[in-house]
Amino acid sequence: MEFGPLIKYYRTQKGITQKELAAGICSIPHLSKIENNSKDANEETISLLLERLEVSFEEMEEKEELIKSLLKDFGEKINFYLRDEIEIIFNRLKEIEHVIPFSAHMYSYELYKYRYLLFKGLLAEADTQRDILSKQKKNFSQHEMYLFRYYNAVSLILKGNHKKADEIFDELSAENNNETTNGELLYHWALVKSALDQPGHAIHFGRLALQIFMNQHNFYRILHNLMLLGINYTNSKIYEEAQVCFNHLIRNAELLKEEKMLPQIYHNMGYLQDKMNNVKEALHYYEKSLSLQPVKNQHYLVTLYGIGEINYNLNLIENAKECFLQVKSLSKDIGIKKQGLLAEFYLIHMDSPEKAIKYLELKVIPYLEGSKEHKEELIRYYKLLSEHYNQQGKYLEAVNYLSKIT
Amino acid sequence: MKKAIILLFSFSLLVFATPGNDVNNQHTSYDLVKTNIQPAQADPIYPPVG
Repeated sequence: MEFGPLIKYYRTQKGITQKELAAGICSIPHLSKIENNSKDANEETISLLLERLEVSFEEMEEKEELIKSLLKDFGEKINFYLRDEIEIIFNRLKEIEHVIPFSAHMYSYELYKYRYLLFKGLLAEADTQRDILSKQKKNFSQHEMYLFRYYNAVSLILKGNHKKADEIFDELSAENNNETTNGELLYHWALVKSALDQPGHAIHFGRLALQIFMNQHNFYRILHNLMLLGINYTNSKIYEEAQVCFNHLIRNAELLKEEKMLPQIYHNMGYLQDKMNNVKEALHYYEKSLSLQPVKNQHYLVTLYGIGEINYNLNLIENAKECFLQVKSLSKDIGIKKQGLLAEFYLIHMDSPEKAIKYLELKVIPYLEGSKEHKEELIRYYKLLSEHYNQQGKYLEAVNYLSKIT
Repeated sequence: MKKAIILLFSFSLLVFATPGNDVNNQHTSYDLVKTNIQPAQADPIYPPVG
């Protein structure tokens, strides 16, 4: 504990002058030097000064230990994704926040605070915290610097900037001789690779993370990781493995009544069945998922859109129309653009395929190109447009879209 | 005369070699768009970042 600044803090807070505090204990210049940390005082002097300030020396020493153990716990709870316990520990740290700057854990605390804000999805506040930390980074230890860069990558994931996050993970891994043993980091990296349409890499990092989480008996993260692996096996067309992951997840989540995860798992099982062209099974799982989603949020929107598409493909046009109209209105309400644009594309297509093609070029393609994370979908649309123009004899336009694919 | 026969022969070859339009096999742009938007576009739901 940095006792000098701590004494100055309590003296100022109580409105006592240096002369009053030092009287009978030490000289004023000596106190001044202690407060500015330019001179080490002996334990007895510190004790007397703290006693006059009605602060217990032993209590402060205990608090130092408490901060250390709370921070350690906090890191563990984040790693184990224990939401309620994270909240409890963070509140306990908040209670002693005023003494933390005088402890040896000042930067660790501020870093964990940054992580907490990211965990809660409070991005604006997290940005403010990042800026505060950025000013202090030259004082960070090697480990603190590692955490700061890692948390910046987490922040970029939450903002959808996966490319930049990937670069940070690459650097961190290279600095560790590509031997990262941090399951949480590997899981986040797998998420990034998945978003960047690199399912092979996502499976690689996901499997490494899964092994670590299994060794730790890290239950929630095992489930999250299995879900991520299932999605990436699906995207890699390794359907049997994907099915194993989702069946395993369904069994466990149903058994443990994991109500929050079940609709997401059902949706992803629907996504797998959809890719395998098991249309009826896909619809069954999507509908099961939707029935368990009471809140009309982003997940609800994605599932409803999936149902709309399957109905369209089954030629149940009226059902599809109803879904797409709902998706369109909901996407406006919650500010999610992608599904809204695609639903509109289908709605226009029902009346006029020609107009739908124009809409695709003017609205959907620019959006997907702008987001830079829908490569596979873009290629599909480029092919569609290229074939369309080829059919019409507009070869220049056809070649233009073909060249975008390569 | 010989030249005219060769020209006529070449022309008839050209006519026969050109594929005829099969009325039953014509794809309209509508059909093309209809068949090509079939692949699934739905997204998966990702687990939380935390």
